[in-house]
Amino acid sequence: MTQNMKKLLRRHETLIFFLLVFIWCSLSIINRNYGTVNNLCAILKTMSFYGIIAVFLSFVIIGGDSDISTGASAGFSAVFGTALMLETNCMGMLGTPNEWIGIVLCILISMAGGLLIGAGNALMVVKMKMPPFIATCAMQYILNGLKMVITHGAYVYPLPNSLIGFVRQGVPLGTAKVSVIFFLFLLALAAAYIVLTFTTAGRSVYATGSNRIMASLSGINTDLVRFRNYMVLHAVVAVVGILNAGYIKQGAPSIAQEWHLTIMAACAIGGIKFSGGAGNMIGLLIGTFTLFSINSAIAYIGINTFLQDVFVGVVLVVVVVSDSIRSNRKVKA
Amino acid sequence: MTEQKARSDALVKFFLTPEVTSIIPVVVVAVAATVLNPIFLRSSNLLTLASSLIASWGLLAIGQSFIIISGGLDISIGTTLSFAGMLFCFLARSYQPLFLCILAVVAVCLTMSMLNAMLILKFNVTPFVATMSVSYVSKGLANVVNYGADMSLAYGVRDSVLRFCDVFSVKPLGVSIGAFTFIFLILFSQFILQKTAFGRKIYAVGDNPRVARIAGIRVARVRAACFLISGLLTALTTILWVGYYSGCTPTQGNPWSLITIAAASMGGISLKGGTGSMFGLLCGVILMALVYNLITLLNVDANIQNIFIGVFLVLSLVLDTIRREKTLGKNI
Repeated sequence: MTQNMKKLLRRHETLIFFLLVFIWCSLSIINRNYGTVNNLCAILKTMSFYGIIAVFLSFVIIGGDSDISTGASAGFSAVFGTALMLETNCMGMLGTPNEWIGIVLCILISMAGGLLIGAGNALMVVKMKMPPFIATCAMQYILNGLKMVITHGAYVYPLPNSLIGFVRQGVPLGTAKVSVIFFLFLLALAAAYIVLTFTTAGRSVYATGSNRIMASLSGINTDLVRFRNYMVLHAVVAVVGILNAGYIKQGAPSIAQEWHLTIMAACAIGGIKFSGGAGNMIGLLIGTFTLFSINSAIAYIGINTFLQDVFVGVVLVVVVVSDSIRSNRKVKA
Repeated sequence: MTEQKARSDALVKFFLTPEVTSIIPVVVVAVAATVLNPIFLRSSNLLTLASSLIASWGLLAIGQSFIIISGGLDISIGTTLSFAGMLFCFLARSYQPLFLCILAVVAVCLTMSMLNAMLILKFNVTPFVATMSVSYVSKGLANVVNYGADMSLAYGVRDSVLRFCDVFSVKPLGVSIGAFTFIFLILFSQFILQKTAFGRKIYAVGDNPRVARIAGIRVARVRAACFLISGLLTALTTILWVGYYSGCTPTQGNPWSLITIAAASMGGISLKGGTGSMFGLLCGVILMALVYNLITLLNVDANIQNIFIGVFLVLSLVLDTIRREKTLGKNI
């Protein structure tokens, strides 16, 4: 019993959870408006857009790679998908009761684009053996450029009402409502949890990330695993991009441009090891929630909001250092 | 037959040396630029290019190269420059003496680089994650200094600071002092890397840290020294840039981290560590500067610039892979 307790207390998720509880308790005392349903719902909504991407980025990171083109990819798909809806009038179904079919078709086409982007990244990283960070950085530049070529920097609007309506709906909770995006996030988390824990595909992601040579010797097609990680990630990123465009009611070229580091930070705080092969979805949920609670806390304390970045940086440093100290202890023991 | 093969192999190897592979695109881009827009060859254009682009992130790229050759990576040098620059301006505008401003810049840059080194070497954090965390801190602090607004040194400062900025309006041979510093440092770094024991240790550590340790090299110490060098160079760049620009913006250096990595990679400094030279870096820096300049001169949509840079990055990486496979015979 005490052994189990000790083990639980040493886990990364427990540490982050205590940090989260500390933030909520102290902030609720400092500012009465922080610990309210309204603020909770606002945080849940904001974090879910990032969180869905973080879930699938975790696959890539657990598989031993990384990707900083997620933000650019989301922005590109947001502009591409919404422009497609506008140009084709939702596949000619705008304004009819079947409008949503047109929207889904446009999203599917954007997802196909996302698959291509992911395949491009994977081609560079897996086949051409480029360092993932720098290869996806190149992809980021290319996508940011292409996005502007599509719209010449203009905003894409008006978007179909059913898209906006879908994204902005939510389940009432007190005076606020829990956004539908949060439920999509939970869905993604649950699906990822099941795949990672209970399926061969998920286990092979861990195996590939922890020791690629051993994994391929034991019969796992590691190239396939890594290609799949990248392609699924960017297909999902495309959907998130369009949903975000729907939320702000226009396909703005600035959507998600700066997201990639925040998403990486969410993964790092959530205990997804950047050396590959470790991390789980419960940690990711707590980590994402903690990150956005901190961001919100800065606004509520009423100090210089530019301190947000500083705080995120400090928390990141503390988390990675404590993580490394604990894993060193484990090795010694 | 074997002799012929050996000769052709030698030829392939020659064309794949970093200096040659990066000089060729430099020449191609330069010729293309001249044909497409004759303004390119005007001395005023070339001198501006050398004074601003090369003297700013070119200098940073030298420090970045030291880190990359020793097997690391630093994506926080650009944001550190932003923060240090803003701090310089803030102190100067608070009527602090010049030496205090410079001292603060050096202190900030060294602290940030030592923080990176500590995270990476002592706590075994992946270089990318460690420097990303630090870049968040410095990016935020740069904005905190003046609530996200620019600062100018043109007024409201001590005479010593004004005189300091005036120094930079003097341009011997038409180029800024920063460009001269850059050339000098390239030569000096090349000397250190090639001719000193410390330089050879950097290559050894970057190529294979385990073997280096067995050979009696104190790996962590060499790597930390590389971060220290990069920190000092960042401080120098900050001081030169703030003086040249007579002010600073809080996002000044943020994109430069990636540009320095791209320049190093194009110049044949492999991101896997252990290879590359400063002459290669020189070619890489010039190439990046030319591409930027060419795009500006062609009046290309600023956004398409991004596509060009991305494609160039990919090309340089492909070259890097081919080079490693052909010349080192390494199956990476």
